[in-house]
Amino acid sequence: MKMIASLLLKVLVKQFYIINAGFFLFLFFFFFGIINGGQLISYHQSLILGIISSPVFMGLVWLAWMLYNIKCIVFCNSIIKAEDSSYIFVLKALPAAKQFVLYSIVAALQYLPVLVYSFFVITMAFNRSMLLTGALVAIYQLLMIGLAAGILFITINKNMPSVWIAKAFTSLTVRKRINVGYYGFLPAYILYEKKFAFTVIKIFSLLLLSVSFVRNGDQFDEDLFSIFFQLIFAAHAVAVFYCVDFNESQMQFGRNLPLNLLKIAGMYLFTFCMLMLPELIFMLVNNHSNLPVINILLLYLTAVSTLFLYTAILYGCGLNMESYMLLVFIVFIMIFFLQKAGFQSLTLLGILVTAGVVFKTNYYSFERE
Amino acid sequence: MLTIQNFQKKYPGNTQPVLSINQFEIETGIYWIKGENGSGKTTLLKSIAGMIPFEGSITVSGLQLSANRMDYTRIVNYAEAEPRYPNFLTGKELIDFYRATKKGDFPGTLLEALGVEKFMHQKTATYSSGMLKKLSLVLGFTGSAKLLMLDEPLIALDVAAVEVLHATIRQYSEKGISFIITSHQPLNNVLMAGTTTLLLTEKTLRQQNA
Repeated sequence: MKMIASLLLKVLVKQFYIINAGFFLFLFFFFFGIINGGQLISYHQSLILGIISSPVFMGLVWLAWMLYNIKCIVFCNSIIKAEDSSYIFVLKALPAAKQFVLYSIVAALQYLPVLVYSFFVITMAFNRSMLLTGALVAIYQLLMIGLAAGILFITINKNMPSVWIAKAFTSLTVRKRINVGYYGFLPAYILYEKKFAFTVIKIFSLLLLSVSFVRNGDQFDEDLFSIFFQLIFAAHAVAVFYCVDFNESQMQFGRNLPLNLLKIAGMYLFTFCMLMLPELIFMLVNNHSNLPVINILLLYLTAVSTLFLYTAILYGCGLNMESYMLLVFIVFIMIFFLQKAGFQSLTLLGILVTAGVVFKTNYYSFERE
Repeated sequence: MLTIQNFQKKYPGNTQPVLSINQFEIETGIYWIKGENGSGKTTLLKSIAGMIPFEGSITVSGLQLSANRMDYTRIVNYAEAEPRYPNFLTGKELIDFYRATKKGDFPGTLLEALGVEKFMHQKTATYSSGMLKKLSLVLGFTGSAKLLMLDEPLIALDVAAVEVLHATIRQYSEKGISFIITSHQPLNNVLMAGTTTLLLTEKTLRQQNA
């Protein structure tokens, strides 16, 4: 077990830090280098105080943590799927519990910079008797590690139906074969091959919606909900990445077929409509007059368009994860301020037009690195 | 039939072209591209098939790829060396999808002769490399292609399937359909008699006897 752990740490953790050394150096400089040494502690104390006191700030920090976690997950996936990494699949022979522990260690070590910082966030929250806030941060971090470990587990074991978790997810699959047409390729891919990631995203998403619509139903906070809703579609950024990656690898033959660009864009839009349907239904069912129905529909369409914008961005940046995450973050900030200013319809239109133009410009010039 | 002009292919992140063809033209026929491993045969075929971007222009039967992509991809078919399909789809679903998009003829005889109908109702995840190859050949022959590109069509095929494929190429060629084939294994003598050899060396394409 120790040998396997050290091999995994070498391949997945050490490599991750080596490859991303520049990124970490930049972050370190940004957080610790530009502040005067004497003010460093008080600066971070104020920063953490801001995080635990403001739900909006907390939401933004959660988003940043989640984007970092997505970066870790995608790195692991790319290493595992590389042609020279087939030896990793011998891990399937280990019992499921042992595997999960190993993958959790890998996930926690990749996620370590965030864990260290969130340790101080939790400590300060507890010191100030903000027990719920501290506990929520701790649970969130456990969820993040569980998500990363779970995805690693599924990626390595996906062809091994005897493993309990694979069995559980296989039982969720529709048994009867439905003839999948072109528009159904991406939804089918997510349901057949990415069901674990899909389930985790949906649990995360419905948890946030529950907090807004059910727990705080009588004191509905529109600002907090707006942040939560954007966190939801930012969480779907990973699903968008999977879709584009799939379309440009297993479906690459489609580029030799007479499919017009509108149909290809339609396939993505149809997929995202399906993907965001549970959120729409949840909001409509649990609304209780918190939001006008038209606003809910606008939010749904904004989410679908934003996912399409993420798609266009991925075609623009050649599936480069670092640029993608940065642009997802910028989109998040822009949409937040535009919506806060009350430009809901205009935001939707702006996203759709931008997405369409970026997609049209980049689709045919795209090539995987 | 095929005209390539000012063609340059660079891989993402590289400034140096891996292929550079100023002017190249071929008439209807069967062409066998020879070149060492890594000389760019697959890259060239993928460029002609419209699967990867490039600089310059490629025209087949008067249709330029960048200007008439829909019509162009109807008449240019490509069967990959190492085909890859979504694991959760069956061969039948892929065949239906190709028939619906490529339109035109369906190579029912080839499907039968290669034995694809025996396994086409299984998910492609269960296919061996030979089965994937046979499926890709059936898909490659689907539609009304004027140019059919077969990348290493003989690898992973059993002896009987190789014979079937040779016969099919000959039969389609007699109908006026052109072929560009890359293969490290020799084609059979009958087929070789009417084949022109192209060489892909020093990042460019030229006819062997030119």
